[in-house]
Amino acid sequence: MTMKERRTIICYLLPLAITFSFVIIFPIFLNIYYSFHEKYAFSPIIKFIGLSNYFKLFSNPIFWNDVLNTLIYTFGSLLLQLIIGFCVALLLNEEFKGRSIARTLVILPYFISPVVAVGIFKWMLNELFGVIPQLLRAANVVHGSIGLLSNYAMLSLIIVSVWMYAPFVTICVLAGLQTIPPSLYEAADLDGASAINKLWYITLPGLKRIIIIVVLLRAIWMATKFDIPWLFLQGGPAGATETLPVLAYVISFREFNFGVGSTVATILFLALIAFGIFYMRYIESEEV
Amino acid sequence: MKRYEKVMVKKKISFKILLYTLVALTCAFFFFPVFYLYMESLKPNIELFSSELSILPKNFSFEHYIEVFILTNFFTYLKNSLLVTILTVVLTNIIAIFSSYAISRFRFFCRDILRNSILFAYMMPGIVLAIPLYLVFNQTPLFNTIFSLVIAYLAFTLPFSVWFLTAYFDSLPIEIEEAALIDGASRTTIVLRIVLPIALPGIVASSVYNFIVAWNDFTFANVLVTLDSVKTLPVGMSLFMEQTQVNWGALFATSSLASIPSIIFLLVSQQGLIKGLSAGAVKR
Amino acid sequence: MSEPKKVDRRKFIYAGLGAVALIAIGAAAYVAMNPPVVTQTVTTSTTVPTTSVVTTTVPTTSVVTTTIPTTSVVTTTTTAPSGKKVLRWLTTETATASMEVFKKWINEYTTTHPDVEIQLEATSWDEIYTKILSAVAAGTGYELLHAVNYNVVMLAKMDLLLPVDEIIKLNTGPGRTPDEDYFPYTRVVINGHDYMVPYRTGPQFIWYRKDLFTKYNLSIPSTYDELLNCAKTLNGKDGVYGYGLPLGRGGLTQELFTNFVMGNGCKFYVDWVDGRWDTTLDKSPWREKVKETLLFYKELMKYAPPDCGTYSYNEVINSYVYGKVAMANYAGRLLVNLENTNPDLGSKTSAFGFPVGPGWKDDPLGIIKTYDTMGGLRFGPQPIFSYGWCVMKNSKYPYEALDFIAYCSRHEKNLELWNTVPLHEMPAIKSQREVGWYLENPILKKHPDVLKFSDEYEAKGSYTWFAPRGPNGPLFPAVGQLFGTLIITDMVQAVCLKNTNPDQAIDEAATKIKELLKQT
Repeated sequence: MTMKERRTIICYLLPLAITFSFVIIFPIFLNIYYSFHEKYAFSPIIKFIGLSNYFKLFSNPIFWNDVLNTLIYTFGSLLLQLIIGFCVALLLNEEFKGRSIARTLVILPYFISPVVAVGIFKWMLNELFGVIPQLLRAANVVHGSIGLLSNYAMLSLIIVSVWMYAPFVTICVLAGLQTIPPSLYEAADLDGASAINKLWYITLPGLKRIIIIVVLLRAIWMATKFDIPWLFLQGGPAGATETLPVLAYVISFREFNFGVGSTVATILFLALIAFGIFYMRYIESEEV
Repeated sequence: MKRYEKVMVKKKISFKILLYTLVALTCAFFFFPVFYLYMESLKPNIELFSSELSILPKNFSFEHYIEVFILTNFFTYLKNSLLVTILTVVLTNIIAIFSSYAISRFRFFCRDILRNSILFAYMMPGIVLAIPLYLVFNQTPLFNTIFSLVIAYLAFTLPFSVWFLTAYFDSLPIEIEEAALIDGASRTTIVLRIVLPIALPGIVASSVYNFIVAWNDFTFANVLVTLDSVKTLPVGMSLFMEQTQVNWGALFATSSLASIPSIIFLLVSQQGLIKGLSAGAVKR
Repeated sequence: MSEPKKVDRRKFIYAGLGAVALIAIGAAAYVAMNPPVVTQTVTTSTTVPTTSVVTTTVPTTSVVTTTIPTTSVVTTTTTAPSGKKVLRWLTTETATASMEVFKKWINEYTTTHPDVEIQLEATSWDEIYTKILSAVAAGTGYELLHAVNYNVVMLAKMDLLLPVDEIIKLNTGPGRTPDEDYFPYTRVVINGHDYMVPYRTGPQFIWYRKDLFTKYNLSIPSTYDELLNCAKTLNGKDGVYGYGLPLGRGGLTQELFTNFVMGNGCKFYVDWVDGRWDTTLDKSPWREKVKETLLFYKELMKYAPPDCGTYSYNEVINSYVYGKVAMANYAGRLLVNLENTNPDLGSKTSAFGFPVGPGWKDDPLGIIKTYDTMGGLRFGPQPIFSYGWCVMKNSKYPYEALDFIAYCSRHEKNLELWNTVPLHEMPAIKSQREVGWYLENPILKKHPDVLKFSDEYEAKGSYTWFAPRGPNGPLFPAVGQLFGTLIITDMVQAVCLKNTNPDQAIDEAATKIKELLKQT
């Protein structure tokens, strides 16, 4: 590597390195640091207490309830987003009139702000004034009251998240579908393959790469989502929709305990890193 | 022969019917809430809160829109959101394009690790990053300005953009660049003159993601910026959603207005988005 | 063969170095931002329940240096770019009419004081903690802060606020002392100094549908059982639910629950026990009383809308204003919204107080009274929440802020604010209330019975402290934190929505309160 090349590399990477350290590394590091200390919001006293915060959390049943909620929320929305997004992408890959309008309409939720989405869904699912309970009652699916927001809180939350982010999966899968050469399908047609065969042997393998990536991204992004669970039900009736990010917020900003709040975030962070590493290892081993 | 053709035609028609039905259902599912949002924003309060099932307003009323303009500085928020978003997208592109190029083309120490693990930056929940960032910005003259938001959003836009563009650049053939190098062009010229035009679809795709992050973010904008003149749209909207006074009608009106730029952007970028994604991230 | 190995090892070393370099940058930044902190000595006297004497040094910035608690407050050399003094004002009075009044005040004041610029920031109740926290952590306080009295206690105990004695005296009626003129419990006095200029206070009621009560021959309930009976009778009739019960994770849940608990003869969740502040939740007889109230709540929930588990202020107000519930609890804002939106329903509305529970006779505060305006019925007490102006010590222009507060808290100016949400916002000063301005307000004119009841309630001393006092007077210091957390809310939600055993829920809440008390 020449001197000139080395300088170019450094120039190109320096902005990234600087930005990264200040807006990503530093806050992450600060949180991990806080998790080993006792720090309350209003006092500048920081006392080192080792793993005490972690033990406190592990012995608290609310923490485990939230871990469960996070798992349900993450994998529930992930699965539904994948399935729905995938099917919709297949649908929108067909040639028909008005396809671009349909694509626009379907992708729209992804472009809507979480504040708006949560607002409109809270309104629609509202027992007293919302349109969905009214429709359900009119269609005689439900008799009397159903209390969607209280009895089916996690399900409602997952539906909001699926509505918002399945289009992301759709976009990615659509993009992936463009890369599969149509000649493969034609050859399959000549061999007399059924639609399901084509799906299984041509489409899915062709999409494998992009689905792998999408699963990883959506898993990480769903697990760390704060604004949707919080804006929707603030952690839900009695913690039913409280995920780990919400718990971190409540502990840090409502119980004023930054130490434990950072611990929750750090635990989630480490869990996701472990997941990421294992996931990537598994993928690489599969490819070989 | 004829019967066979008839059967084929029937199959085609029934297939078409099925297709259009499914498409219609799908579009309804994804579009209905937004449509409903716009309809509700046009209803007067009495209709809004009535028990009867109604989707379309009986009496169109713009009272909520008027409220929005009276009660909030909607255009200030709009201007701020636009500024923040454009700056974020531009800044991200500048940093990400060059960094991705370097990671893709050069060999240096932590290159392979960076490629895959840059996404790990997303694994810390955003909410806990807010206070440290607030502390950092508070010491600087950037405090409570648009620029603090732009820099903060880089935490969310950069990892994905760098990762995506790296994969994208990996898929571009290097022969042209090598030829240009031999001809004596500097790397920067290569990036700007040769790579950029070819990579435009990928850059559009990652810009779309950056736009959405910057335009729709609520958490960071809420913590980092408290001054009304610097607030962005999501924060401005959330004022209608505060506890004692949720003004549903005005919330719908402001949500409808705030969604319009997103929709415009969607229409503009839709074609390029799919093209951009297809060429890039699939090949690794 | 050896080549790949060498390359791998070198790569690994470089990768490690790279990571270390980045972490080093991060650490350096962190250290630069936060100077090393000295562990403070916390001294608490065992005989007198004084506050913990904590000398706090707010993390210094290069701009503002503050050392508390000396009397000299701020040394700063910066001015706003335009050369003006910028006062930052944080409020939660986001009602549109109130915001208009604030903007008017700012315009008037800055016209007569051209060197001052006031930046108004509105925030919601949820966010105010985040905002105050950030301001404190960063060392840039708000010059003007609208806060509720329990938050002021918290901030004052942390020595973050400037005393405002002069303004208190300024607003006192002629010939009276502040102790005489200010309604009891509306001021925050710590160590002899006021830390808040109250600009409003307001009672809470249970609003009810007079027409439905008449139709079904119901009389005003004054006990738990009577309330349950009314809710049960009205539930499902005429398209209404019985009671708009707030069980969501917002602030109204714990407010209302505390009102009912106090009506059952309970003092508060915390008391001065054995020479220190401790929670009373897990001790008899308080434990049984809270349990009774929890079971009452669970029963009442049957007659509430099904998604009341998400209800807070807004949902309760809307449920009543749009005619979905027969009874709902809130302060005057409900009436104002009602009259503005649905005046027809407003004519059918009146109010009563908080019914008492079976244990009311214990009445540790001696304030459960009967009311002539309510036909000799007995109602429980409620803690008073007053809202006032505060000035944070670590702000840049605290003394200019004091001047602005003096300007706004005068009767003529404050009147403009009260008129935007009458009954919800009432003067905290007797002499100001005696002027009788509010009798001309059309909304209040329509409901003289409510006003009479409120006045009698006030006169009989049924308001009480929002926090208990120790033997020698000082307030429970962590009341702001306690109200800010979701401990009580979660306890109520656990029993009503998760069907947790009340004893278990009470124990969990007690544990959390103990944990909270360790902070102070």
